[in-house]
Amino acid sequence: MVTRRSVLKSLSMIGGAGLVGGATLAGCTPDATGPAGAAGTATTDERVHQPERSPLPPDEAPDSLRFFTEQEARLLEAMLARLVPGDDRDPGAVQMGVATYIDGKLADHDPYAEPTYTHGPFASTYEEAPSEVEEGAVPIAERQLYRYGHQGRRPPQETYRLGLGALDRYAQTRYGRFFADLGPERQDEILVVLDDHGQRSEAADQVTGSAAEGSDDGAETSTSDDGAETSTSDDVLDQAEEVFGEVDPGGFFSMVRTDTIEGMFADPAYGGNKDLAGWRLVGWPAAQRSYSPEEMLRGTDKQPRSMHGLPVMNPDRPGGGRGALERPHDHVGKG
Amino acid sequence: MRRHDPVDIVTIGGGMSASILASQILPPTSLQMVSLEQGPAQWTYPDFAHNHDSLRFQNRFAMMQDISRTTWTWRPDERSPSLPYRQFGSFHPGQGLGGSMVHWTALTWRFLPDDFRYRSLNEEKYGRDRIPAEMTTQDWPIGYDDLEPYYDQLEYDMGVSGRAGNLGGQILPGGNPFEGERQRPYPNPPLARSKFGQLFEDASAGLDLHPFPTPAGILSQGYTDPYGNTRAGCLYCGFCTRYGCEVGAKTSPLTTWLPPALDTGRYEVRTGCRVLRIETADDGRATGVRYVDSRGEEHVQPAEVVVCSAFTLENVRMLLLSRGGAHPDGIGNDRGQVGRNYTYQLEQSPAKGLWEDESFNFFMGNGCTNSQIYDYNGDNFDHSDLDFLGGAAIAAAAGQREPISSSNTLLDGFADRQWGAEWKSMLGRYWDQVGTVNVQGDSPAYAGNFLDLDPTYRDEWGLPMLRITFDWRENERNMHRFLAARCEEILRAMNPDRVTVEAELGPYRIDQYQSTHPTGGAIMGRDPGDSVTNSYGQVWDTPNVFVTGAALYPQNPGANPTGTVGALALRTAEAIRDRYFARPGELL
Ligand code: SF4
Repeated sequence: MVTRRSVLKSLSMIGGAGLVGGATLAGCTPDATGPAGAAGTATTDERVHQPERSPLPPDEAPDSLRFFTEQEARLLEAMLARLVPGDDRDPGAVQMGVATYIDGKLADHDPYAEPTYTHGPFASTYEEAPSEVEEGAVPIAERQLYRYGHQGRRPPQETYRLGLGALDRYAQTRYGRFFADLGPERQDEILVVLDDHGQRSEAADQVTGSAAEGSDDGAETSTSDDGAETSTSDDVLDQAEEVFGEVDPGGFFSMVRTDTIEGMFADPAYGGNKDLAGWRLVGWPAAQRSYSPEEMLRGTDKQPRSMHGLPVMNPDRPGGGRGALERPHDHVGKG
Repeated sequence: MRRHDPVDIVTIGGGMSASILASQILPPTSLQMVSLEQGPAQWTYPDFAHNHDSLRFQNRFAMMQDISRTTWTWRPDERSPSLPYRQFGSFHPGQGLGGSMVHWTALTWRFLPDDFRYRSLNEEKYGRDRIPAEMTTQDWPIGYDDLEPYYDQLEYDMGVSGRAGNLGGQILPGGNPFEGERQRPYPNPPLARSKFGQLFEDASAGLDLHPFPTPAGILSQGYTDPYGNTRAGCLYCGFCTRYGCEVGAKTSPLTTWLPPALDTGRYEVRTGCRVLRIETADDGRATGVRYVDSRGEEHVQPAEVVVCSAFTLENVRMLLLSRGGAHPDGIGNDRGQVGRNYTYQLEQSPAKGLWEDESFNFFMGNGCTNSQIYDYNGDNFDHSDLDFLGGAAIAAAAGQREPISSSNTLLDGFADRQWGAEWKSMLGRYWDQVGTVNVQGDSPAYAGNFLDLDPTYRDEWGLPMLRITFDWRENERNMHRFLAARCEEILRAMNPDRVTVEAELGPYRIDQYQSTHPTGGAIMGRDPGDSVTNSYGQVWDTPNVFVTGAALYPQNPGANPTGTVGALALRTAEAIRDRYFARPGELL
């Protein structure tokens, strides 16, 4: 349980860069107080408040590895470079610092970053009959497991360690080299197997969607096929499963992919999204206080801004309504 | 163990219903009320002054119940084993002062008059044989007309923004022509419309459908409510669902009902407290509640009236956990009714389009800056030749898109793989150019979908978790197929360059977010033989225990539940205040 009260450093003056291109809803938005109104009151609260609700963001972006070994980090980055390729001009996951993000997530949270129920009994899957399952475990048909969500008993830190090791073993088995030393095509072939493995259990259980007929307006139609056949043969998937051993190849892949998306798009305070490159990629202005109804229809020229760049909420501006926002706190407290 | 001085009312949970009860019951009386809230205290200012951290609120669930300590279990059917809901997926009950209504999306509906007569209406119109044998839907014990005054009060308490469709029987252009008759228009005009909402509106109007702006519990302009709270209008900041609103434009207990309740000095909220059970006397009446405080110390709070005002699932669980003495199977369960008619909400995005050269500013606004149609909801369309009952609201994707939570699946159906160079360049190019047409449909009740205590899993306090047994049925699959085709028609009229359609409703899975609309399980009815409570939420077999919230719904219509939770709470508050304390007993 995090109990510290953390305050993030913010722009020291509200009238700073944060206001450029600011809101146009005069009198309605905290942004719109203007430098004059703000300067008079910024003295009371120049820092951005973070309420005591966990999990809190780190005070500063981490800059060195705290969980992975150098060798693990190199392997992870080789994988990230295929998941979201890039270079200096067009940053991908590596250039955005996703490995630092994942490293920080695993170092800062023990074991999970999100609320997770970690007590047993745990599920164990069977193919034919529940009796295949060891005593004390909850028997679940393999094809049904995906419906129950996360059911692993292994903390993510261990899954990363074992998963990265297994990835190298699998690369050795298939191509006789470490994953990081393979060419991009070979690396992609491996990742495709892991991806397809993750979709296999759902494919067995799901009804495949079908596109409605009558497309006469020229729009190209495709059918969502999260549950459809995968391109990898069962033999290959089985082999991957065997080599990966105690780690589920599809589960590992999907975990890295989800963490990659987090690292690309989380606030840079968390270590990834370097130079706001993730937000620039998709064109998200991120931490803004407001958009006007006109901007909703016509778009905005607001540029991506991190939490640190967000001007302090100022309830003391004229009409800012501190009285209305600050409720009587008497009679509410810890029991 | 600490025993407190008795109070008149104790509530389990310090969220929406509790604050409504306190604000209606306490000011004109001398009664005393205590609420026990499992989460922390929180206030608009300064707690939400800086909360634009999408990782923390979207993926790490900062506002939600701490499910590492207590959660729920699920299984698809009675033959399958249950497993705990170990991480958030299908639904997101919140915790903290103000409850889930602090992080909500704020769609604020009145249910349709037909929704209260689901069973009799369908039987009369389409014949008894159209209701599947396993379907246990039943009529509500009250109708739309009984609730109208309370819907009206709720809308003015909250400052709901919307456009009336049926004012005193007169159908008004631009509103929802299918809504029940209302005595007053909404107190505030609709929220600003998004570009995609506008496109949906034009397209569906062109198909002779009846689009209208989403009714929102979010202020479209400055507003002073009947309690004297003055609040600012929405800033369309794009950090709305799963966050607290930093300006108080999104209505919650914090902005509206807590101030007048706390001003009385006779309302106390104890945070960080986990209720273990409702205590009962030998005669079966409730005497108070037993709880554990934030330091782990046990307390008893005696009270004249006990209200289960937590989220649907915990309300049902609390009744079942209060076993023993005169109620061996739990409070309200003397006739085996608790847990029956557990329902959910059919919430899907069957049709998705991609526009090559059009971006929509999806990241602005909130979950209400869009438009809806009700032409295919409830019984607003003829089901004679269809293979299902019920329907859904159809809506354009709204705002507040952000990349962490959207990128995982945004390009499903458009990109071959959801990673790699092609995916990256498509995400960069199309992140704001992919939009969906969505359905929010009803969820009929079935004998095989129910809640009970899990025989295996226990929470941090050693108490059994609640077990959810739930899956979709043929009716919903057929409904989804029909609705997907309607969504596709509308989407195509919006002229996307590419379209992908998911016509089939897959099996229910608890790992994918659908909506925080678990409903039923402690349903209201006309008779103790087919329900847990009467129409006031008063428990038949323990009349000094009340249940509030969506656990009371006999089945869930095609609309967000919160508006009706509020209207029912106002009605219950009035009855407790004006009638119960004058003559404790059954409120008939
Ligand atoms: S979108 Fe509007 S209502 Fe929602 S949090 Fe932002 S300002 Fe508040």
